[in-house]
Amino acid sequence: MSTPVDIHPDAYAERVRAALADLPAADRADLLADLGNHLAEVAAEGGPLAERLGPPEAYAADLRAAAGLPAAVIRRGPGGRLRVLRPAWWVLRGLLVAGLLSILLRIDRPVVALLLAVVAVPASVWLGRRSATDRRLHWVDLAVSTAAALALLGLLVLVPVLGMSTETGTTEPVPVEMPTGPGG
Amino acid sequence: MDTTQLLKGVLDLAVLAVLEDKDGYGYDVVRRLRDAGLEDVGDASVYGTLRRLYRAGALTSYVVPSEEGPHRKYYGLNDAGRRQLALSADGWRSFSGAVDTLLRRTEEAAA
Repeated sequence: MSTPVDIHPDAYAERVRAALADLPAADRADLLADLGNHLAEVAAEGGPLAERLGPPEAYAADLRAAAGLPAAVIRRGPGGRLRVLRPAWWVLRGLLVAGLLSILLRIDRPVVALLLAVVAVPASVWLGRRSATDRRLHWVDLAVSTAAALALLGLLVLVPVLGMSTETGTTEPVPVEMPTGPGG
Repeated sequence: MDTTQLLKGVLDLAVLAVLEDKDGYGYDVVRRLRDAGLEDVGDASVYGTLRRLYRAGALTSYVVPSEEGPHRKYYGLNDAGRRQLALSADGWRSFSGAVDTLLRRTEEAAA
């Protein structure tokens, strides 16, 4: 007989909190208010918490369902460690989109491009965060990420190509036909 | 018989009934429901139901400080809650009466 891994009440509470992270702060605080006491009392009775209450994620799902709150939005995208990098991607994405727009709109004044970036980066971060809970924004978020990824790909491909052409452009001597002498 | 679906329908009524008897805090209500025979009731479901009933205006809530243990949040019925309990109880009695009638007919038919 296998024994369930015993989760410490604090760890259990943290996982419940994480599973409720997409809720508005007031709703989440409401649901978490009684959690500490509840877990402490159940833990005091003995036995592994997960066996007695089920996994924290299931607890959170039951809790929000009974409270009349919507179920958690299924997150698509990278999980685990990659997820930590998402905010960095949002910033980079904003810069790439600003850069892409600068090129497409033929913006030659750096100040304007900078302004674009100042607007695009927070907008990208906002989009990234809100798309976790708003299904409609999820597609916008995906489109922006795709555009930024293509821009990045374009950058990675074009920069070496551009670099090579400026190197070879004027330094290689062009063979010149020498005119033949008279009588040649 | 899997009582999960049944519980979902009557959990509000059951929680209101428990609180009409005596005010209670979350885990206390869970225990009283189980002692009454609703063994499958989930802890999280009860806590969520208490929060929802409170936000809907059916319950009062107050904190009881305690020296040895944590402060406990107690819930009780207010007038709106008592009205809701009475209505739900009537609904339950007529519904379960109808089901009982059907079952009696089945038993008589089988006999």
